Amino acid sequence: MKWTKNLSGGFTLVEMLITISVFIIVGVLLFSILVNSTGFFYQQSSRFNQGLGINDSLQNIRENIKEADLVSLSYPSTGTPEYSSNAANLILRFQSIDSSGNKIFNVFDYIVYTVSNGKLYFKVYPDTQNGSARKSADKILSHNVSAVKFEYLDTGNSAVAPDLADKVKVTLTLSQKAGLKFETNVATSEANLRND
Amino acid sequence: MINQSGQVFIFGIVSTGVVLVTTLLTIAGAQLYFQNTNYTLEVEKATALAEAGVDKAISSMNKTGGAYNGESETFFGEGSYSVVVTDKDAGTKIVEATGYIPGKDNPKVRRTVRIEMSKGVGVSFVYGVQVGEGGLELGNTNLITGSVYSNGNITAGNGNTITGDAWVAGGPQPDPDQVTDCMGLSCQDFIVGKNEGGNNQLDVAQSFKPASSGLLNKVSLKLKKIGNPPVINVRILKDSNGSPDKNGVLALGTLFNSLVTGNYGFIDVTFTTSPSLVADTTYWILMDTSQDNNNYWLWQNDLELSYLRGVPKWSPNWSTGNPEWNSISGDLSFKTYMGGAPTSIRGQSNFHVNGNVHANTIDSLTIDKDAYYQTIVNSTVAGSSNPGQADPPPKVFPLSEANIIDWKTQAESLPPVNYSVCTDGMVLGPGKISGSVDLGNGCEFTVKTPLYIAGNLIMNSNNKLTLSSEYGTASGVILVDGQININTHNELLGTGQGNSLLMALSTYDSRVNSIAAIIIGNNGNTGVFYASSGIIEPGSGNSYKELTAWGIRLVNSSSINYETGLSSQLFSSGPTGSFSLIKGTYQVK
Repeated sequence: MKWTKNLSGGFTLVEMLITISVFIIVGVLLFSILVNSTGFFYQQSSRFNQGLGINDSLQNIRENIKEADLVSLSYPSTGTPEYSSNAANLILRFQSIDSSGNKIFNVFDYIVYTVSNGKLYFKVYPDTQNGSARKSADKILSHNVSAVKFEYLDTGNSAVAPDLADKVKVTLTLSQKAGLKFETNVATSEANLRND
Repeated sequence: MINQSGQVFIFGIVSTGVVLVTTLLTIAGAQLYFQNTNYTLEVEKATALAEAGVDKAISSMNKTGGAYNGESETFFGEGSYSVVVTDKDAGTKIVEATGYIPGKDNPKVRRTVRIEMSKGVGVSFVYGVQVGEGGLELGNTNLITGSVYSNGNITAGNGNTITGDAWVAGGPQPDPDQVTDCMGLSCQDFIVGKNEGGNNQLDVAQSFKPASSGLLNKVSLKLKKIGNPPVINVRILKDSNGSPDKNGVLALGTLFNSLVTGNYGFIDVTFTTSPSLVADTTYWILMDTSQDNNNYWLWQNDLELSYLRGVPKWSPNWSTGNPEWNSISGDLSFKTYMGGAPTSIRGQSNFHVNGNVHANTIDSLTIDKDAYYQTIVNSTVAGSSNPGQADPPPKVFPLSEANIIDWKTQAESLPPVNYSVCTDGMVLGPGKISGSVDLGNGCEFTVKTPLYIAGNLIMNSNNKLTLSSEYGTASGVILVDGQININTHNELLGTGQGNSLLMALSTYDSRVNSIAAIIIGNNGNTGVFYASSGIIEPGSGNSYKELTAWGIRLVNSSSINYETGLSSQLFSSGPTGSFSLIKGTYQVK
């Protein structure tokens, strides 16, 4: 007997139900994988970006604390201060350097770390009028900064006034929305003022 | 239907592609983060290696007497470092140490630390005026911009002002309560802070019994040093069965390494609070060091056993659970000074102190901040009044007798310096002038340090003495055995770089005859003056950066303007001086 398919007969209801069910199950699974994968991607990207920001920021702060000769109470040191050293701002004083990299005694440059609108700023104010060759700067070290805390310590790790500090401890908290959640990273570093 | 087939498959392919891409991007991000974190860690390691190179350079310079020129590559830990030493000027060397991870060939990370070091004596002038037991006498209308620390009384006339704090220490008795010293062959070295013959002689103590009860004002230990040992602690302990009692620490003081030289000298140690001792009771003076076989101390030991009121002992660790104490044959040379001489700060009218006042007795002062005292009369205190306070302990002078002897020894080792009359472009020193120097008027010349004048130094007017520029930021000294007598408008100037200064120091002893060691006339004189055992009369209308003396008589209308940079002076030193880092020169490149 020769078997022939009736092409004009279409699919049976059972075939249609099975096909639609498979389609829905596969579609939901794929969609779920896509959503989770995208969420995971955002979360991890956020974590890496924050990690990179924290690494670079803390390295910058640590190196400059080491080279500073003093934590300045304010900048400018005379007149009305624009910034003051406290838990949220750090002002470091440096001996200026000439074009050969030699230190100029009794001439000082200042570096300010401050947070504004969720960004950690790094600002350099050289005393160019008295021969400093240090380059000025005003750049963002980190985005998504939810908190920064500067602690001023003496050699016995007791809290002291900023200008009496032998070392500075910094705690940087970054927070960013990743998908539905907030991704938060906290890092702490500490450095001694080598030129104090 | 045939043309619409495979839609699930296409959707699946697209979804898989998206998942694959995001996964790959996530892995790439993780890899970048991992590399960045590794790099950050390696930067820290490279910086630490470079700092190790700096430490090695300073240590090697001291060990070789300055013959160290650096090293091309030394492997250490996970990397290596190289050191280059160059001369900046006659007194200063530049050290550039570079740390490499993993090595100098094809480094992944490198960091360079640059410092400057100088062979010298670090001297810290912390107060605008520091006075010994001779005290401070202020005439009328003087202004001291800065703080005053006096081991003796402060007395003042009318209209004087101290802008900082005023401290008057409890006065020590003029003569030591206990003393042992030696001369000749019986004097031997006792090594402290080194493994000697298998013995870790790290903590060394000498016992004594005071003849009188009261506060122990200070002790002096006869010491010298090998290499450059660090600042250490000296403690006063009770006795426990013939050894120091680790649970009976009565006082803690600091022995400043800069005061000790390569020749024996009595080095003063004072304490944060003066301990109260009972007569004829045994106490111990303990030197607490850590082991360094290249940088350690020698305490003079008298093998004749002439001291009958105490014995010396050593221990590898005085504070351990059950410390082991070993006997030493001999007596370690020391002096103890008891307190008890009453001291005070007294004014007549309008004696103003803008800061805090610490003294046993305060009389007729206007104090803007707080007062700490036993007795107060006729005074106003804007801040808090704190009666019942113990007398402040005396402060050790920034230079020791040994520092001064070291400079003199260096000057005497050089060809003698001849001076008869001032000439243009004259350079005096380094070396010794056997006799007095009278500069007369208008003599401008260059000084090379140390310049040692065995007689008197006399200047009339308008003389200008400038330290040679070859010393860079370091300072210099003119040592005078006799009196320094200066009339008007004379200037003592440093090199002009940094905080460099030229200090005039007289060792003339005013303590018996009350004749001043340094007499400065009126108007226009400037400089830093130091009379280790003498009185300075600073005159009127002058301006000083710092004065240190056994006693000071500030007559009328003088001003002393203390500069904060004086807290870390580096003086070009004698033959036994050690290289040390110049503060403020640390740079990471």
